[in-house]
Amino acid sequence: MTIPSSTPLLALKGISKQYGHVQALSGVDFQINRNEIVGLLGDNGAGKSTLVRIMSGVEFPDSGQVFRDGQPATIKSRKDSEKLGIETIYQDSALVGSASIMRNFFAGRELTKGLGILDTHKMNAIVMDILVNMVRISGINSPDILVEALSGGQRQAVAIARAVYFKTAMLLLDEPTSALSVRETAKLLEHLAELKREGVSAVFITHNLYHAYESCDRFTILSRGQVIGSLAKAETSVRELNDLIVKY
Amino acid sequence: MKKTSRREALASMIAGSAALVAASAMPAGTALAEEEKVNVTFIIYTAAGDPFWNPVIQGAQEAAKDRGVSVDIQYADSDPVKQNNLIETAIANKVQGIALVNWLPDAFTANIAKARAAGIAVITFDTDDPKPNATESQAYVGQDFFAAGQRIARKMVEAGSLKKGDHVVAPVEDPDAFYGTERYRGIKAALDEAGITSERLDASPTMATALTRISQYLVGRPDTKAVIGLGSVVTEVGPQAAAEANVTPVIGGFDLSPGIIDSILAGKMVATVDSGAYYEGYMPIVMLYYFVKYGVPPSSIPIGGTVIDKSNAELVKKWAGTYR
Amino acid sequence: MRQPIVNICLFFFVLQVICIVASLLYPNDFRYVSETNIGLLLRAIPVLGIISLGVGVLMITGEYDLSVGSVYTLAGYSIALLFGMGLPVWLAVIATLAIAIAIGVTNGLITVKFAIPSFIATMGAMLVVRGVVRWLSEGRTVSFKPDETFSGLLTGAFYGIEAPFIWFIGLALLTGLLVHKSKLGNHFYLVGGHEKTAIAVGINSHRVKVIAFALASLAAAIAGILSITRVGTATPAQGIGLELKAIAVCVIGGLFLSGGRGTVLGIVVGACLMYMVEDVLLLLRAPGFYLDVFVGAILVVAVILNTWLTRKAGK
Repeated sequence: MTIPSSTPLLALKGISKQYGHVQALSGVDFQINRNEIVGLLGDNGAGKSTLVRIMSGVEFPDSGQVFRDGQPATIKSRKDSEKLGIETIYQDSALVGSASIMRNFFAGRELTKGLGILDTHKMNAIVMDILVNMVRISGINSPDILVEALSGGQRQAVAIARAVYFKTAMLLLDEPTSALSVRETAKLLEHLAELKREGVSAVFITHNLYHAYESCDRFTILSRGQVIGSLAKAETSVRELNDLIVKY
Repeated sequence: MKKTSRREALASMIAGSAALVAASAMPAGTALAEEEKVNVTFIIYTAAGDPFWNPVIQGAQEAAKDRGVSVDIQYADSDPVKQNNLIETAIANKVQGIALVNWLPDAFTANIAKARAAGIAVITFDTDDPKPNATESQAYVGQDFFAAGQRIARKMVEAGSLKKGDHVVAPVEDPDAFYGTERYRGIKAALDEAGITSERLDASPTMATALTRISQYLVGRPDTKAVIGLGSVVTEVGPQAAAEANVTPVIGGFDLSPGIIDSILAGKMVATVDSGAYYEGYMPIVMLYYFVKYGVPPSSIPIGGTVIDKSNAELVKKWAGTYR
Repeated sequence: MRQPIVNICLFFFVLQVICIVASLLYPNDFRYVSETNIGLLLRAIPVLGIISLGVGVLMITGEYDLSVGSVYTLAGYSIALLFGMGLPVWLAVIATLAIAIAIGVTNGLITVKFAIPSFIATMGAMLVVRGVVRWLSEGRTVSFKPDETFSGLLTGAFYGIEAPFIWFIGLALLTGLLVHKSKLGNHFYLVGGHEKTAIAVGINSHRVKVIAFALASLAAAIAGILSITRVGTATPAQGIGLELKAIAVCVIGGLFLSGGRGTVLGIVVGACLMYMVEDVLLLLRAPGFYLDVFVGAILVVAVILNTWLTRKAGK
């Protein structure tokens, strides 16, 4: 079956979510196309994180529909979103600090030799291969290093490497640069570009319009739970985006 | 020494009151059955169901039947507040006598005084405030822990032919337990007299742990000539501890349990001390009755403290749970 | 995080060497290397050791179980009463272990479903189970005298090594396999390390925790059965305080109270150290009545030393 390349990878239509009396999202339409990095922008409390949590299956919308490659789909759990090829990297909780790189890399998707016994040897080899040959992070020479011993940038790299290995179709990055140094941020943006070449689409949630402008192809702007604009990079500028966010 | 003479005086008083009981028992009992009964509240300090109290309750009920007493048995659930409430309720109900366990020094002093002021007779049993005349209760019926300690210590010295310079260990379940402190004081007094050294060991109430600790102690001090358990758990594991440490001290202790009696019958343990539970229930009821009816003053009775060894253990086994 | 375990093993090893040398130098004053003492240690360590294995697994997932001391006691009564009712001994064992697992699962479900601290949930279980023991026992001790085959299997000796210790090592190896080499074990660490992340990668943290609670209860019951088979009697007051001792063993062994870290080897060494301290103190004739003072002080020193060495190694 062939799917026309114009069909969005993931499309959300009319998504609403209410917490008590707070309308977090109302009738939001959002889409991710093939080979595209979407910037999801908006001020604090605009509903960005809620949208991400709905796409990753941690929360469930009150109403609205989800389409994967034009086919209706449901995301009710993390397992569902994983099946649709969605991977989320949260700002602070992508990895478990007290566990090793390898154990994080395969967290929840461990390879076993049967009977639930881990195939440590094989997993170690895969991790080193990906880290050295694909993501090219410097300073990591063993899969047994604990994640808490890594820098913020190295951690993001591990999380991205994991997405690459597990053939993720869409990567949701929730404020990935908030804890990173300037150099690490540059490196992360490089990784994003690389991911795109590997055929992975991404949603980039950030406060920093410059980072977004540099790396994204399209921007969706949220304000108070509603979409107030969706612009391609060619049609807009950092200044215009800024004005849009501030004005609403 | 002074203590002994006082106890002798007490003993003669008991003999006196026992004679009185014997003299007046039957006719008075039957005559009074038709009259108004004496009301007594009998307060056991733990929750209901502890089998230790079975002979105590049997004693209290048999005394009540013999004398024509209406006895109301209450349980304080090891809670001093509840026990005080029970005493106050008894005062409010205008009972004529209260029997209670004074298990927590100072906790019941005020209410005992209040009861006495209201004209109610009060007798303590099982455990009493260790300070002499600390409360206004008229008498105490229970083991004299100190004397019982002396008695078992002397028995062990004799059975193990202990001599000056020997060493004895006294394990206990809980270092804070009042019974342990007092019993050990008695043991130490008797052993010091004979020039024998002694030491307490905190062995814990967990049998496996107690077993290990006593064994380790015996490995560390293989010259220990006797083990005297201060409570039932440590007494029960004594013989096995010695066997595991590969030493052969004489073993004894306190309380009656099936395991302890079996060890004595099997010759693995020299002796244990009976707590005299039946009389803890019987005597207070009898004395309250005679005080209320005829004003005969109640007097303290150091019951229990009988040494149980191979010669009389069989009888204990026979009456366990009713009279023992 | 290999450092704490290296330190504690080193500490243990040095202590052993000192004790053995001292014992060889003064064989009459310090009987550490006597057959009797070694036999005693090998029989004493397994009870607390096995409980600690279960408590340790649970601690790795970031939870506690304060009810293990009560479950330990209940297991003794359960097997003795069931056996006394005429059940074959192996059936009594199975039923006892099943009861323990049910208690553990209940603890786990209450903790995760109502999202309350396990400290409170299991403190409730500790009191309830202790109360059930009182009700079952009516305050009475109970004796358990199974046939020779059964007691030999649990408390005898094979090739001169005490059976309880063999059971302990066997169970430790099994726990090691589960915790360090299995998929479920990896989930224990991830859930204990950062539960939100574990959920985000699709791990069912509730299920993982409930399993860990069940294992903690199961281990306590195994220890209870082992202990009543050895002593032959159970009392209702036994086992009080074991829950905290087991947590202490785990902390000495390098597990973190916050979860996510630690090794099974650490638990084993921690249990050995705990008993060694008591043993050495008694062999050195420390005042037995105040033993807890010394044991407590040495425990704190051991943990301080371990933490300090770990920090130093981390720099």
